[in-house]
Amino acid sequence: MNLKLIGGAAALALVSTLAFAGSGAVADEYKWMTFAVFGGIIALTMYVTYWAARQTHSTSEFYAAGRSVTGVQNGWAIAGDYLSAASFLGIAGLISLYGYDGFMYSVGFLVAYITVLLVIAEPCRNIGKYTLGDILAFRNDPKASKTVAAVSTITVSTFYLTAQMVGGGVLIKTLVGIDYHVSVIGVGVLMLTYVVFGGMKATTWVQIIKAVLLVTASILLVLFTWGQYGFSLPGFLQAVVVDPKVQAQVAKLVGDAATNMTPEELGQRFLEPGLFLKNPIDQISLGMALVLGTAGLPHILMRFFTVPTAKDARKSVLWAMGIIGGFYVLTLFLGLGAAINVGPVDILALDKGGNMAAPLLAQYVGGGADSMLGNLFLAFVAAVAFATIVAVVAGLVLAAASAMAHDIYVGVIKGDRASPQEQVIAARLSSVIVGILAIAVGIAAEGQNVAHLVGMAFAVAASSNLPAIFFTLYWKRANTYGIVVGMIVGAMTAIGLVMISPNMTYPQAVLKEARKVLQGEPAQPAMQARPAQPASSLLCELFALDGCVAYTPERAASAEKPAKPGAAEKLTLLNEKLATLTDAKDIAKVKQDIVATEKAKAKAESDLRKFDGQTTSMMGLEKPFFLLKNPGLISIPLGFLCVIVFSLMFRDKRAEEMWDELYVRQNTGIHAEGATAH
Amino acid sequence: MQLTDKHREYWSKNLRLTAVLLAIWFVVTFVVIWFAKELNEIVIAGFPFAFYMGAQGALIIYVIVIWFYANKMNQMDKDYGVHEGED
Repeated sequence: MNLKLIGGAAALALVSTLAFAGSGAVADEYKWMTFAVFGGIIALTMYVTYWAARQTHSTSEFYAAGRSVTGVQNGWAIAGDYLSAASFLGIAGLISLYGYDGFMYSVGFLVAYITVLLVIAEPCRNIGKYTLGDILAFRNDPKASKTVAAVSTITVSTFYLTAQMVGGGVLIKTLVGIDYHVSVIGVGVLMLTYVVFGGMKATTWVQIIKAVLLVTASILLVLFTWGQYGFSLPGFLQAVVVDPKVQAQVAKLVGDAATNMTPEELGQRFLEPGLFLKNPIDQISLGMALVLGTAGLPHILMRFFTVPTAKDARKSVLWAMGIIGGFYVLTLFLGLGAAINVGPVDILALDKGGNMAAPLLAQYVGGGADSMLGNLFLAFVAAVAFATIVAVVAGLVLAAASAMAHDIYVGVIKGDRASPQEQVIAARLSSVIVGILAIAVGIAAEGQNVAHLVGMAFAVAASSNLPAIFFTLYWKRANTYGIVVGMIVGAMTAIGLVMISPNMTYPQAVLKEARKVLQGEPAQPAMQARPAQPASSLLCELFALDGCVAYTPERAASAEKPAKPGAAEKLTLLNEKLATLTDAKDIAKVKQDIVATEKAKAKAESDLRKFDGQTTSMMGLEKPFFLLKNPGLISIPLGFLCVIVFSLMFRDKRAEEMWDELYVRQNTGIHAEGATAH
Repeated sequence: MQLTDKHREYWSKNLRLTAVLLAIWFVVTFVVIWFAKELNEIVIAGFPFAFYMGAQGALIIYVIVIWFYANKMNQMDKDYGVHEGED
């Protein structure tokens, strides 16, 4: 029966994608190639799921793949889990648009892995069973700690999941032109099939397959791109510096300062910091959340329960680091290669975030938009991106479902007295619930800006999960009170601060922007350069308090700007201009402008209708009260502090008694859950 | 299970190793970024030092740190007789 269901799901996903293909980066006559590659990948993963399903009967097999995953396999799977579409397409895109600052993003992602291995991975493998709740329940009150751990796990996974579903839907639409709703449902059905039938074993192998595909695709692209320069690094970088497209992009980014720079200097500037990252305090806050949050991400933590020994846990981090690090070195070439071969203008034309840099580079190195090979390459990269989204989503769903089934149902409701069959049914049922929720949220959140949700997921993980794990493992005095209060305060602060941060929609700002588009802007006088102004105090950097002077970034000198016409007037002007043009290239450009202006006009009009009469955000604020986009800077220290203070205020005998046992166990792995016989 | 002196010794060695490696990690990551402007005075093959660190250097050092930790801990597990599995 399983086989039929799995095959049915695969067929449904493929047929629905075929039927709803519209326009995207892939030209219509080459779409069949994309679907052939999609189909191949789906067939392979479905076969793996079928094979895994036959071996998945017990809870240990469902949650932890029977602890039979080797260190090398787990390393690849961690890489597959971590290299989301955001890091594959997003970072290559950021590098292609902003140069050096794009690399800093990739380093920022990898930095975290050191803390994961050194501080968290091994002890967790040694004392845990399947979930974060198990680790905390080792010394603390099982019911209380499992409940908060499960709620926190589900919260973090949901934020991350929503971002992945929405991002994935948009991405597939941009790449292949499949309708957004169909993409979301397709991803959801596939991911559910892997998780429900094959559990952790299928999820692990889907992640391994995806990581191998991703690395292969990147190596091939880099060989083609770098090969043009005889594999010389200085030669390649020199090509970046002298490229007119890169120079034009830098000139656009630095504004009027460009007038005093030679073309060579502009190109060189692309390889220096400061083009993308502006407010330094916000960057530190995001950096803290990323670095410390990784160690508290439930789906990453869960991967360490799948290996049989501590040695394998170490080996898996080593492999994961090597793969992810090597991959990020490749993205340098992908990003810069896309910048010189495709050019920032064409990349931005398809997607404002730069996500299309790597796919367009693939098309270019294969021979361009009209060639068979170019489109085959593009199809391959599109299919890899698709596999990436499905694999990451599967890992997240499994983590959320295990918190629901293992912590809440079995641990709290049943008091750890559930039969093995009952536990597996609960696990599968929870996966279905979480999966359907993910699809529903993905569809409901269509068109929302979800980029900040990833930052928020990391912030909650860093402020809530990390302090709890860290103190449970390393501090004798830590106890249930500290852990529970710390986790709740950490998570609530992180979420609460985001609700009053610039990430939310503030109607007044939207209305002002919409009126600007429709009515035009008055002329602006020439302005002199002004250095960055620090805020009047540290508190003023963070909150919009009365009497505060806010941080203002550096401003370059600018010449006088003429008044901008409103959208309707601009359209008339453009249409008049179109009538006088004869050159095909100019006509195409003006037509593009007209389409863009019409789009902006329609958006401004709908915004005006939507927010008319509203003056405050969801939280009743006229403008953001918390000034950073990421809450980490405040919520992380607060989470740690609460665990310390509340642990010291109360005593918990069991927590102290269990310390010795934990101490031995976390270091030696004696009595840790061993591999099940296979 | 009782804690023996051997366990304590193993644990303190483990902590010391972790602390040293975290310190290296901190320097490579945060100190280099903080002083990026000053370090950029050093130019190798036409490109500034911080560029190399950002592009590859930091990544390579991270992998070496992890490799060192894994090896050292595997060795320690054997020396203290707490390794798992056959090997």
